Amino acid sequence: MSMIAGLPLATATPGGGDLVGLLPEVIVAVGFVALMLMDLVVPPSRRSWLAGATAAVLAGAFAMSVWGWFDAGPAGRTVYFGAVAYDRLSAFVNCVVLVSSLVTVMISPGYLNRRGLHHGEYYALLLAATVGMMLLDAATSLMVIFLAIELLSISLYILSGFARDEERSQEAAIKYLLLGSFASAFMLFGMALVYGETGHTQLAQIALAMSHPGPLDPLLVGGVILMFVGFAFKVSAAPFHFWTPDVYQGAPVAVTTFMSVATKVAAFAVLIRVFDDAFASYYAHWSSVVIAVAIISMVVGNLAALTQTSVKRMLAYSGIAQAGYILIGVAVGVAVPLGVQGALYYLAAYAVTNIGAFAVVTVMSGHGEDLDSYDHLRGLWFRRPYVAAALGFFLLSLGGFPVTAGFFGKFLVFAAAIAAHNVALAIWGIGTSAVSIFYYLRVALLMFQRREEGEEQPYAWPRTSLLGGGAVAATAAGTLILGTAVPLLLTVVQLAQAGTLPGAT
Amino acid sequence: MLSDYAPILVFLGVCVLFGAGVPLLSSLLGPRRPSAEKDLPYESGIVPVESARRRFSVSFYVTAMLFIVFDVESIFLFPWATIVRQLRVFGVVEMGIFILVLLLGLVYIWAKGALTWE
Repeated sequence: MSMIAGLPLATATPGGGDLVGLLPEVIVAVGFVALMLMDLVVPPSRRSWLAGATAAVLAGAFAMSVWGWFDAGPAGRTVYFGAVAYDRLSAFVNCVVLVSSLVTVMISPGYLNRRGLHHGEYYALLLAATVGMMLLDAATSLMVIFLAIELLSISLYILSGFARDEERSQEAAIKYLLLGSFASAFMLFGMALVYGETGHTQLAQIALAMSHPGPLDPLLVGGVILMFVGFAFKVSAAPFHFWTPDVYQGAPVAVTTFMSVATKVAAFAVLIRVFDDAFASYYAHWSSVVIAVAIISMVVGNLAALTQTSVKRMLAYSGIAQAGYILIGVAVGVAVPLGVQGALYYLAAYAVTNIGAFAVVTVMSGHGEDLDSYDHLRGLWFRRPYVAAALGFFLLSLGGFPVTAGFFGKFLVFAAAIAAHNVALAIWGIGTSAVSIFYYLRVALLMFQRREEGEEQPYAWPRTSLLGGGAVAATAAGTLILGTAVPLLLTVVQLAQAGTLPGAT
Repeated sequence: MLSDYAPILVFLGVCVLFGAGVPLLSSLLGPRRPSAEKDLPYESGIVPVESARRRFSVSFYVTAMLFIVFDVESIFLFPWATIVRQLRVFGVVEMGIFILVLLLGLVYIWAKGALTWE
């Protein structure tokens, strides 16, 4: 062991077991580099090959994540000297992220071709963002958390400006970049304070340092709150949501599909790991902030969604409100395990439902502009009945109707709030979701409105391709399965929740 | 403990004195013969030919970004070089992968034509 400036320097090298724990991430990372090089040799007319290769990489990583779920076992472990977790929580969230990514790849080629945006970089950037998200949900060190967030953010900044000729897309990219960097600075400052006060970057050791009884450390509380601000930006919770509608509307809708779901899922996974586990002993100090942000998100998101006339903006505000519901689970997760389980269930349900809703918009977006205005949906049922029925089903699920995935997500987080004796929080949630039904149904009913005699068709809906239709059908089936086969997913999230911080004991 | 910082305080004082003193002295002692050229912003002694507020070729930005990538690479290489003997084969492989990924990035931008100047 050598010494540099008085610090002991560990020169141990990670072994093969470490690589196994990171295999899904490694597969996607290698795929990212390979896709970048393939883009150079594949002729422009054969770009759909790139989509095929991307799908193969994602499917491989998905298989490895499923295998990792069983291999890691109930307790899980950390790899690379405690930097990354190899446990069921990361395996579960990896699967959700990879499925979201896969659905996005299914709907992308057709959409990008129609919009004239089919560049090879798209797939490489999509994989880069996916690696960032997978690392984020597995991170157990502040350094890895920050690196993963930057990796996924930078890829998404570029992707949201992918329609280079459109002012709106450029605006979305620059807005996301500026506000995202600002949020990263908040998080980094919070991490610096936490590191300064505990002397550790690894979550397990931070948890140990924080659990020592002693006088309250105000700087540590400040660091915890600042980190929460950074995460709240990434999950687009109010009042850190101002970028969301503009970026979701400006970015090409295939990109919005991906980022509205996968980013949120990965960021919530790390939020659960950091707050409900590592910072559990400071629960009394951060829970009121999280509850306040949850209530503000539910109120602001749902009320703002009421007045929208753009499908993408409505879904953006609905996403803000959904983040509020998931935050309920996070806020009470330390007191009752059902909170974390409900949040995880909600995440899976939200992912499959929201990606379905955006997939319908993507599949129905034709040449020229994206399908966006409410008017563009008028009468969709009479021309594209299957797609319209699917969108209606997704909107019902987002509103939380029974036999859909959204119902049980909401049910579990509200039940968790009541179990934690915070009935007021549950009432806020139930009240605001009653409001939300109004705007979801308004959009759903628009599709059944007949146009008047001699009136032009409001929008030229393209024909649904096999892949695009398959993606919509698969997400609709997923929404139905998560809404009916509840015990299955509930068992999965219970297993995922049991041991979210390997190496803590 | 706090007195350890006394030299810094002295240094700070000298800086302020020097920074304020030299312009003061030159304005007191120097000759004063103003002209239109002398009132222009100073730019390495050459008379500016046009306004600096114009659009620059995007190639400058690409070059600057590429420079940063390889600049950061060298920052990583220096600490690695001090412990490469302890890390043995693992260290060489790890740094090899790191440099390979950057190198593939260079191949990519080269093939995309980012290195050609118009």
